[in-house]
Amino acid sequence: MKDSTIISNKKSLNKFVIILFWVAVWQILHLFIGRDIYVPSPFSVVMRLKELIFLKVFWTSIAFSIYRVIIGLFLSITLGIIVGVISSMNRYVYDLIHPLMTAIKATPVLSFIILALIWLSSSNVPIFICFLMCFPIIWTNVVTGISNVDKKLLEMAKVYGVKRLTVIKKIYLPSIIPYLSAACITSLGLGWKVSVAAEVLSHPRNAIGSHLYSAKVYLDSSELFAWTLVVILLSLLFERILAGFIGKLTYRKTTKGSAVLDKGCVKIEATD
Amino acid sequence: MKLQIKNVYKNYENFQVLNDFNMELSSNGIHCLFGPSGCGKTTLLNILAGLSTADQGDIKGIENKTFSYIFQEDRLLPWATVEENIFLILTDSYSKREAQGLMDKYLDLVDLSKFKNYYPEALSGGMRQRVSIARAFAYEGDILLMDEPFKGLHMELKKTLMDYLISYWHQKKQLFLFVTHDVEEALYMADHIHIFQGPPMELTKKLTIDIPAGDARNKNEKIDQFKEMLVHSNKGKLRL
Repeated sequence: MKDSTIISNKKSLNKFVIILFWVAVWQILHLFIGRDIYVPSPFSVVMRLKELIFLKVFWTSIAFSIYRVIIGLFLSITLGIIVGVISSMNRYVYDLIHPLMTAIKATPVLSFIILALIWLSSSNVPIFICFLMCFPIIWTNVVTGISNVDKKLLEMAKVYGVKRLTVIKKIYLPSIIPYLSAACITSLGLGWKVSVAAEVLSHPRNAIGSHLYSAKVYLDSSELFAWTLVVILLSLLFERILAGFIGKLTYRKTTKGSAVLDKGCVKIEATD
Repeated sequence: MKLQIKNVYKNYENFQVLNDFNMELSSNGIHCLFGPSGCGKTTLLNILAGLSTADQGDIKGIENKTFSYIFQEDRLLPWATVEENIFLILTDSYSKREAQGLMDKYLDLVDLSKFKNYYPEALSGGMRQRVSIARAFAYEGDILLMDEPFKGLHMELKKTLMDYLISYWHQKKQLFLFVTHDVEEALYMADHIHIFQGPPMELTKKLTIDIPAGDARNKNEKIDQFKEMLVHSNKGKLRL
């Protein structure tokens, strides 16, 4: 068997053991407390989840929650990039936007949710909140990415008369991508959390948050845990998909000289 | 047309680098700006290349000229291959076919054709500097500027690179202007050595070496005299 396969199998086994450990801690906690209403057993949560997955409403709720998160993220990423680029190009715009971003970051998300409940329909509240919470992260990273572009590379391009569009494509974009991808991954996790929180308070039709709210009303802890598990799994799944997409975007052709030979990151160094 | 630098002033905050600086250079030949670190040599190159502006003064003879610039550092894009790095500066000025031809020609000259698909991180420091030399050659600017291009490289590699530059100069017969405070480099390559002190930068002496650049100078007695003068000026013991 290849070394890489052995390493991969060992990693999977490690992950499984870690998950098993935390499930055991959960079970012990359940036994220690002894009441399902406080901490339901892992078994009862899995059973509840098994019941839920056969219901149509389970899938429609997931689909609509995903839709809201995606729209919120799409808006925050698009506007975050546009406003970030404009702020980097113009100091006055930066000075104007910066206090707003600081204020948004410092304001409790609940204040925004309550305001949004007054302003918007219940279905749009999670989208707005997701956008509002993720936008400052994208904006900050775009601005930081642009300001950290290597000035020496820009000077080189200037001396050699490289056109502005080429400079943007070949120097600015590759420099910003690491900052933007980090911001997108952070926003994705945050986006799920705040969207579901907004759904709990706005309880639109077909929403994971609405089911969490019902579970709270009926003191159904197993259902609460089951839906929470669904949110965690969806968040992880989306993070994986996004990381994979970003990985493809920044993937470099492996060549003789720069090839990463193995997952152990062994590099071939060429010498004079 | 000669390159004339007239009454140029340049300050960085309250630090005076160029103060009523004047200089004249022939339009071809390998000129060396020789002097201690921090005397303003790089500032002068940057003003000529348009990377910095003079506070005051006139520079004639660079109108509509293009520059190739070999910086102290390689200044290669780490996310682009050797080929892509050179292509970047050619893509807006040449057709794809012409750019490919120039790139192949000069990568071959610096003996790096086999490495064109490598990323800079996979190359040694010397190889990266050779790529930046190939890039400067491929651009075929009217004036070649070099700012301590061999700094930190070992003698053998330095000599190889200097030989590339000398052979390139014989093909082009352009104005080469290079900055150094290394006596060996100055004496191996330059036709004219401008010795400076400062800051503010001040021309103290100009030496003209009428022996062909390169190996021919190694065993020449006249060079030893120049060498002694340069070593003394570098140590600041002798004001020439």
